[in-house]
Amino acid sequence: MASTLLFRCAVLHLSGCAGRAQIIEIIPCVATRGTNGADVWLPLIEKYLKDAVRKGIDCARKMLESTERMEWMLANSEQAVRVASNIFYTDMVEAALLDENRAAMLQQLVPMKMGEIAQVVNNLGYHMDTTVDRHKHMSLCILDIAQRDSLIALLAQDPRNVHDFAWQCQLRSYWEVPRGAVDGVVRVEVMRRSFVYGNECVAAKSPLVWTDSLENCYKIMGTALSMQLGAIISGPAYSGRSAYVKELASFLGTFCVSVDCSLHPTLGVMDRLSRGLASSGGWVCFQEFSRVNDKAMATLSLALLSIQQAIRAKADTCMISGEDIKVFGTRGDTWGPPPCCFLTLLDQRHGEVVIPDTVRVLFRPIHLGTPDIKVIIEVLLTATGFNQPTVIARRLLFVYKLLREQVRTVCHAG
Amino acid sequence: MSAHLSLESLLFERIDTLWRTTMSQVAISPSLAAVCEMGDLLGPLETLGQDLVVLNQSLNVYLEQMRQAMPRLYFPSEPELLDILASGQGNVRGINSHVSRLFPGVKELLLRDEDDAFYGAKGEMGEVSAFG
Repeated sequence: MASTLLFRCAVLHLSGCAGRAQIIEIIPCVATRGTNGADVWLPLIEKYLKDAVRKGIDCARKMLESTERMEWMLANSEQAVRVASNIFYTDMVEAALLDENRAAMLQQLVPMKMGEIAQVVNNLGYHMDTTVDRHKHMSLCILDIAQRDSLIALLAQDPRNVHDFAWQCQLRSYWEVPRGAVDGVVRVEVMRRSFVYGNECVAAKSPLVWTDSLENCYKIMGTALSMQLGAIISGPAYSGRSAYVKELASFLGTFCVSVDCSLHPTLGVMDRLSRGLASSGGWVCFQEFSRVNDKAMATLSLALLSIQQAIRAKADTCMISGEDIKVFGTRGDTWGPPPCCFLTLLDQRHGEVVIPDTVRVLFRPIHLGTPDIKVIIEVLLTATGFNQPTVIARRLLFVYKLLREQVRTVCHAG
Repeated sequence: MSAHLSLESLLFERIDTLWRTTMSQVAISPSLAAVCEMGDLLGPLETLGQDLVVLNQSLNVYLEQMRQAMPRLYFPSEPELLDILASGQGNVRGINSHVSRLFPGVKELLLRDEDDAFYGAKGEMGEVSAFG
């Protein structure tokens, strides 16, 4: 394996250091010549991509303390900005909660957050060099608004310490250096369950707007994860069933594979996907699960049971259709949450969807309502540079409602 | 890939030639009566079918090995996986048409021209991150 590695050494002179101190930075490359095939260099690419993300977050975290916020945002990648901003927010709130005068300390954080939002919104009015920059502004603005709203909600509940439920049920990120390790990792906590951030290079898309519906869904998914269960998410069309799963996956730094079950996956496909779920560390989200036939459901439920039991027993392998498959986390990869599977169902107008009990026991049910469109419109308008979005939001909401009435007769999403 | 499956690729070549020669003979005289007079066809064609089953099995074993080495390969379907593995030799750039299936945040892997080594990745919006 070592022979497949080429190291490019870049020697950088440290200008500020006395003497002739030099840092040798090793930039790894993945050589493809002289190797047998993709199975040799693909795992290396996976490893290096994750390393790059981890270093990016570390760099963003360090920079945030010394650099002006807008400069900091433009200098770092969008993913690093999101994670580092949440680490910083968690730190701030915990520091305030540990203080004797916690109510006043928390109270101070709100105007600070408001100021940060105003600054980002103000910047959005100017020309930007690239779409990436604009995108970063939008993401940061949506996150800031989410943090501001969580802060206000937290204040209303008057938490007594950091272990108060009002704070524990929020999504928190910490930077930690594990004992005996040189490099730090991001630790993400959801509902008293702690995960190591997966450092997956997540697709660049704006974060979802923080609504009550999303918050509740996170809370239930968090408790499901802490019990090693998946979740069955049902709801009407456009309630964000699979979007929420993907959002949580990107928050935990893992990847999520969506499988559209309206293509009627066969036994073989289910078998393949459950093996992937067990060993790759990614999550699988089956959309429109009610269309899967009984035999494929049975295959999946057996495999899931085996995976869940293996994780609970901290076993190295699990049994999937008669073969031992390695379970994620035993190959030495310590990053990322355990394997988890999600199902989404569309609310049927005529009666309940029948999911067998053997499948049902492996999941926690979540029922979603339609999210609050008004909040989403307002936040998105703010994140595109509107200072006073309330009036336009009200008009847009009216237009949206009219449009929805127009398209109601059209059959969509199955 | 043919290095991994050397025996199988020999077998496949034999099957392929046999099938092609038979079919070209049939093409010369496509009438059923003429084909019936061509002699013993059933025996060779039956073994050919059995050989194909054997081939398919060993191909599946090989694909399973690859998937165990790199578990993300469980997610692409078989034709896609074969395409990805084929890019392992010769055409390394071919991986880029499938890379977003393996690494959802990556649109393109960056390849150095001089030695065919990957040194970084490009995201969906064109942002570049070097390995490290």
